[in-house]
Amino acid sequence: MGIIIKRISIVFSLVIGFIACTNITIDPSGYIYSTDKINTRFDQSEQWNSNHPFKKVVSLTENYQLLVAADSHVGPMHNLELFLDEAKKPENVAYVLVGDVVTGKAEDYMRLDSVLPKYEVKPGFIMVGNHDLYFDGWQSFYKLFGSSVYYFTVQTPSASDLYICLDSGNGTLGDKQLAWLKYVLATVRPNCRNCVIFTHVNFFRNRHTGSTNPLVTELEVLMDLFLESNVNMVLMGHDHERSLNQLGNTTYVTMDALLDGHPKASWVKLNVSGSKVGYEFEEVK
Amino acid sequence: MQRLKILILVLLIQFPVISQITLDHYAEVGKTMMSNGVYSNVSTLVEARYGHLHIQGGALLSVINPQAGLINTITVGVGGEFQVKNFKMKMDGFYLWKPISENLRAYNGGIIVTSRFQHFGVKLGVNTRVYGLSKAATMKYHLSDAVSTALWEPVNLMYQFSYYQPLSTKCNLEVRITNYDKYMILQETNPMIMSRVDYAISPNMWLYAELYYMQAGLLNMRVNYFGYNGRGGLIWEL
Repeated sequence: MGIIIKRISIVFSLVIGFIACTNITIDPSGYIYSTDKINTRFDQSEQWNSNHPFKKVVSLTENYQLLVAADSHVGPMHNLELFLDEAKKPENVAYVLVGDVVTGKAEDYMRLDSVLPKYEVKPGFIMVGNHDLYFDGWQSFYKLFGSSVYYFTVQTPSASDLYICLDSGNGTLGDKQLAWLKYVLATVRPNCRNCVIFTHVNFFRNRHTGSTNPLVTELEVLMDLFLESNVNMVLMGHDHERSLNQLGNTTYVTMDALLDGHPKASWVKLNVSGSKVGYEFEEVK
Repeated sequence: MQRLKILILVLLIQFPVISQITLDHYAEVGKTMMSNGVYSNVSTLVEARYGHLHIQGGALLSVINPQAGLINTITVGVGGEFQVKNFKMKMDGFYLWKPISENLRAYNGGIIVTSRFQHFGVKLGVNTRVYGLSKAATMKYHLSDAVSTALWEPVNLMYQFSYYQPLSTKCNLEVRITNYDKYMILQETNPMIMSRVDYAISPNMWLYAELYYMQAGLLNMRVNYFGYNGRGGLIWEL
């Protein structure tokens, strides 16, 4: 048994060494054991949130639009720059990047950070995905963007809409983030007209892929919570291929990847018109 | 629910012609990231065999910290043993019904094929899952006919790979990697690790203990602990 474990360790080390020496953008070092804990990240995010109040975006009109994308995986960032250019247009009040924004490597975080100032005319909300955590990416994320768990509101002349950004980068929200989410939905949601949730890891398996989802046990709790809280829409990424599901008044949208070279790279225009939240995929040209 | 009642009725009608009954009772405690503290459940599973065929049914009841009400999950199934060349195999079809809450239900149906060797066991199957809103939820949220009240996940792979090691003539150890359990089916990318010890207290009665360990994102992303489940049970062949 000892020999088998030793051989497995050698093979695993060689694989990690090989990946480290090449330009591969996955980091399997946390696939069996990881020091990257969601509860620790949540604590750090809460600390950051206590010094940085949740943002309020103002829309001068009742109807407005947000631009949303996922899985840009910077390094390459041609598509992301097209998205950010689009986000600058006057019809958009803000943009949201729903995780896997970069590969997790520090140099890719720096690349992203170097171009973002050009697009700061609109508020941007950047979220954590599993790739953003590879190569100890959380250190870079926290330094550059701060919290991974937060909400923002869009204030129109007559109402306020709630947008909640969750951290599902480890495949679970964890118990602390769940308690926070329940609290926000119980206290902030009732004062808002619409509620939209962004989370990176997609909930449902509409096709066979190797990518993981939150455990069924977690989905049951979240679906019930979203139903109870009258959440209009949940926008997700991770799967790289669009899919739609609906249960009751909640629409679950998994977005295409924005990744360069992706055959169906697209972003989503999130249209809010009174108490209706709609979406439209726009493919990258 | 009506179909479930009919199935249970059929099971009861068949009772007199059945040659062997196996009872499996267990109690479990566990905690997950979503359970809001420690939970405890009890279960009774009944399997009745007639020749190479068998039917089974069971219920998991929530004792401490229930997610919904008393009934956590109900299962019924039917199966048979067959042989392909020298391999003995077992095929089971099952149905699981879980009231997640007052508003939400989960329905699972599937097929599993089992094969057992001296030290290894393999179970492979597929299931399909539907999440549906209860009638109470449809009325409570004033859902129109245009709104979807069910969400379907078409196909999910089920697997269980076991290694068995006898510790003595009465005691066996099993280590298992699986994505499902008696009343729960996880997605194919979410395996659990389980260890089990069986102890024969008589030729037709066994005690067993199981420990499940669940990780989120295992072999896929930077993993996080998700939960555990410990179980003690008794199997009795009548």
